[in-house]
Amino acid sequence: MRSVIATLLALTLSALAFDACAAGNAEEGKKRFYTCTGCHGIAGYKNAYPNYSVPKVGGQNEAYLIAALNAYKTGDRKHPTMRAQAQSLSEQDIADISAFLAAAK
Amino acid sequence: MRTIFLAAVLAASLFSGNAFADGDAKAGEKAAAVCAACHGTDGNKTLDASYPKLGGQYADYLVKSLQDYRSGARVNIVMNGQAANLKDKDIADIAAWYASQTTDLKDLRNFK
Repeated sequence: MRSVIATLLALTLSALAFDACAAGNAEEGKKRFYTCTGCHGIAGYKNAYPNYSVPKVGGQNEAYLIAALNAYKTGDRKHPTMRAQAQSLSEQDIADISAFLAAAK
Repeated sequence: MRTIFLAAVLAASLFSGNAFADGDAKAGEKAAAVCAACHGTDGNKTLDASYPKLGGQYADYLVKSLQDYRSGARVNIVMNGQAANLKDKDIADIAAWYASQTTDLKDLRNFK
């Protein structure tokens, strides 16, 4: 009995911890995204050197956005501006921004 | 006379710039057949949420992404393999195909 309770408790706690870490809050993400609109909020805005359009990120898949921001943060994906931006973001910020963008209308 | 010559040179360079950048969406549809397995035919129905939607994305961003996957500047095991043998024209065509599709993606110009 004791071990069953302990196991249940451990499972509950780990589920809670996972949730707290993984679930993005779109409202918080929207606030965070304000900075990003300088490039990602202007239709057809161009990246300079090399010249190409800054991607549309609204409505993109959430898991992809999380992976992309983490790749910029670690430097696996190379883009000076995006690296600097992503380095200022916590795991929670990344989850929040991604939740906001995935649901963006 | 000289002005006409300059104008002709300018026009020609504009034209060739376009010819290079503009892919053929019809040819791209064929070339992208293999991509559909993960990204969906129109680029909107991805097999997994960790794969990006491509439908309606800017063509020049898609070109840049595929070039970076091909060169290895951007690392992804699946995409590096897929892009390795693409020619510049294939990349332009595939990008034109996805860019021409209806999209779930938003440019967020109305962000408030």
